[in-house]
Amino acid sequence: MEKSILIVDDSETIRETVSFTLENAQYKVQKAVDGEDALQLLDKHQYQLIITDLHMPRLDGIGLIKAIRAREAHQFTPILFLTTESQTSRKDEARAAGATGWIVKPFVPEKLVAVVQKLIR
Amino acid sequence: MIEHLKQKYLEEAHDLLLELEQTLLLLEQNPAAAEGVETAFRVMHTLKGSSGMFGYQQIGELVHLLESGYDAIRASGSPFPHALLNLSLEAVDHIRLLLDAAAAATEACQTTHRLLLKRAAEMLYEVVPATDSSTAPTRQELTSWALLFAPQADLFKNGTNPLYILEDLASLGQLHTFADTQLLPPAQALDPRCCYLSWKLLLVTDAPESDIRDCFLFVEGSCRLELHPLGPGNCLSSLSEPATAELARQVREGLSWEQFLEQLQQPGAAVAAGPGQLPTADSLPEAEGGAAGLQTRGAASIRVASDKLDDLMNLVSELVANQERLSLLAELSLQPELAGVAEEIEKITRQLRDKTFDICLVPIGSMLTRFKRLVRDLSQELNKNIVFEAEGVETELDKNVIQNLSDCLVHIFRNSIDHGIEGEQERLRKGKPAQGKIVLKAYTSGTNVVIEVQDDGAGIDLQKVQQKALQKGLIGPEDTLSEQEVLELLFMPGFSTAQGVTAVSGRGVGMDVVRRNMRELRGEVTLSSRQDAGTTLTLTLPLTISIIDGLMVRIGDTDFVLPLSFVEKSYSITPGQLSAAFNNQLVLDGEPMLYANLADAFGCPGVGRQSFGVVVKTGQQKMLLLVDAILGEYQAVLKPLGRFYLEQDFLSGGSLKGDGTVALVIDPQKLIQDIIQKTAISI
Amino acid sequence: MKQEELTTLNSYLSFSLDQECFGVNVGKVIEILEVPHITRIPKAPPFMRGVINLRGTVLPVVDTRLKFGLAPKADTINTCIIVFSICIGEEQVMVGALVDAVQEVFEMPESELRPTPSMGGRYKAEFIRGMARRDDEFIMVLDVDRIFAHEEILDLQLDLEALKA
Repeated sequence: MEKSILIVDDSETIRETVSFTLENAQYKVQKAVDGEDALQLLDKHQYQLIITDLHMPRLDGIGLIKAIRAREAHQFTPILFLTTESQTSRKDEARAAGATGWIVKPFVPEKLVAVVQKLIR
Repeated sequence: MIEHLKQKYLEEAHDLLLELEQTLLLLEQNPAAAEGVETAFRVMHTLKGSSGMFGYQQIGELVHLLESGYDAIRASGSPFPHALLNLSLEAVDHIRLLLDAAAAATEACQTTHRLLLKRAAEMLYEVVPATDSSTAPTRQELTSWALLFAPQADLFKNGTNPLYILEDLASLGQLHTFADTQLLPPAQALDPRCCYLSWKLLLVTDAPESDIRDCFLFVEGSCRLELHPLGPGNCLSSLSEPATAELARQVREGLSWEQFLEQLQQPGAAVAAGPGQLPTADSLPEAEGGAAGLQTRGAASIRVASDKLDDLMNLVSELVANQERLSLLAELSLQPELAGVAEEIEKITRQLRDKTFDICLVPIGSMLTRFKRLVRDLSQELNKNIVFEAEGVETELDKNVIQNLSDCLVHIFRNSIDHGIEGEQERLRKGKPAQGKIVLKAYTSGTNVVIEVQDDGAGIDLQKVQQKALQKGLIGPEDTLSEQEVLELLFMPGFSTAQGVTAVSGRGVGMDVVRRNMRELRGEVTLSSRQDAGTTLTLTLPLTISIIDGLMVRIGDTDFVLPLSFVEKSYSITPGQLSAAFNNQLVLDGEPMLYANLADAFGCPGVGRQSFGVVVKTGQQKMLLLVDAILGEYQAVLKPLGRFYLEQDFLSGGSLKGDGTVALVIDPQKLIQDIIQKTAISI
Repeated sequence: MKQEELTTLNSYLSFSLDQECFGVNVGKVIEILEVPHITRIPKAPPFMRGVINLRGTVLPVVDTRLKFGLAPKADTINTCIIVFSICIGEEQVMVGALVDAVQEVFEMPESELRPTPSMGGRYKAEFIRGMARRDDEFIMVLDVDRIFAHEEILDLQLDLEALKA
């Protein structure tokens, strides 16, 4: 079955890069521009993986992760968050909120696919 | 990475920089604004992330330094240091350069980069953090490992599937898994959301330890992980099958890690083994399905490439022309139903046209950051105290107009800051507040948008202007000029009042360039000034540059459109009036009026009947233009005539009429200027 | 197909002007139109006949007779406009050319395109790609890019005489 992934990022570049890369790797990708946007999609769809940025307007990444985990349907959906090297404190915060793993920006496409493959098969 | 993504990145980077700039300017006004710091941080974070991905390493490293600074401020809640603000603004400028590959390659840019990095590092850090060292995966000697992987019970809550981790390990080499089921409760007490298992593992691999640890990267904090090297080579080759089964049984029954290691060290314990049997139970509630019936949710606004809008605009104007044709045919047709359809299409077309024009409108506020920045930087540079205010920023203009307008305004602002507003001391001496003020006011007036730039500076010294014009031979010593006429001198090519050429505004462009640019946009610029009270420049522009409300007239067999914004009045002209004309003047309503026969002006004399006259006013100049017939008001969609008709610049373009032919749209300013020049010679 | 590929095609469109026959590579030709109402542009040189509406864009029309220095002649039922897509510098520009009549499209390998003998000072070899022989007729194959990028009247008539001599 085709695996579908939700990418949540307020940066169009990141959204496009991630979806381009993953679509090339035969995943189905949907995009959301922030947490609120993502939650609306999550109310309607199931995903095998959610990738989210931590810094977004409206509902930020941590808030989104908590909200996802609070939903029955997405309790166990793997969530990756995008982070940068400088942000170890945020990493722990995101983990505590229920994130599965992270991707360090900047990343190369192969790295992204490798991390995604860690979480969905 | 693929080119169109890079293009997106560049667009986005410029937007982010603009947002950052705006935020920084806000922070300057209110250094305690926490949400400002938050926004700046978020913007930098995003910029840094995407820059690295598209090979803009230098942007990444600079933003990284700044971002960390902002993070610290954010964490401590201390007010925003002014020094960091200046540095950030400089960084914004510099990053804009870095985005341009050609500019970034210059030595100057590279030097700036090093300096900025150094300053940022000094300001924010004791040490510059080391850049990412790329660790290439190195293959090494085959090694045997014993591992303990004991996840916490709530492992699943993070969406982790431990089986995947085991699979990852298995991909590194030979793996034996021994599951510890000691904690597994009876089925009725089992909570499927908890992880009760742990594993003891034997792995033979040539991958380095870091690769093994990498498999557990995401679960490091939520499990007990032990990694014990058993020795080089394959230590398991001699592990017999019964021994393996015995080990598995022991582990299942709760053999501790230490005991497990002990067992392994017993001689004769190791066996040659195939790959370990992986647990197959897919006990994890995996989120599946549901992706059907995808619904892409529209965002509040979307970004559209500018040329797509231009294309849309072209199609709509084509539609408008064809619709007019349809209406015309429907009128002539004997089928009554056709008229109804044509009318409906006319209505829809009009709505579509209006909506399309609306889409192409951009609020003036969108270009203000540039001016705020300009006022700030220039006044600092010139040591002046100036505040910038804007009113009516929601006023909208065609996007193409905004682009061109912005350059004109920069010039006007430079003038105001450099020449208009006085230094603090001088202002106080004059009894004015120490802080000077520049106000930009925008509002809509009819089909025009008016933009006023007002400063409360010294105003224009009319005498000085007149002296200078005299020096330059623009006027004679005996000429007496009205105030307005003196101000008009400033718009003459080559006129510049700057005493010395300053770095700020003495760049060889003057108000004449502003006026020329404005006219290209079919707009006008006027100036008013009061000594010591200030100067106001007023720019008047059409709402869009591609549609013109006009008056259609005919000369010979050609239809021309005169933009209504320049038309004052029209008259029926009698041959008697013409024969009484004298010195290019005709008496109308008892007043003499300069006139020109358009048939003559267009080089086809004798064609026209000159039965009608249209009074056209451009700036201070009024002229009666004689035409054969006035056909009525007409909304013209402007089309360029192209490069073959560059010489005919008294025409702004063509417009497609309902009958499929082309009418020519006149640029009254250029036309009248041409006529006057020609007449002046022939007199 | 791309423009570059088309121009290398060996198909040519021939048309007549006065008594002469000219050819152009079909790769440059967009379409052939009947003559619609042409709006004259004031103060333009006579060989610039005016502009027409070509499906929503304004297309300039060149009176090829006048452009080539031939005597003016009223339009006939055969007169038509060949719409060319030409390159001027980097730009692709559309231009219409009024000709007396369009004749035929014919195939001819590039090798049969004979170089024009350079003779006479007025001969403007730069505007002509070569000569082709069709039956007993000489066809002068034109370089439309150069011809329409050039802003003046080309006195081709004298050259024609010189060529045939």
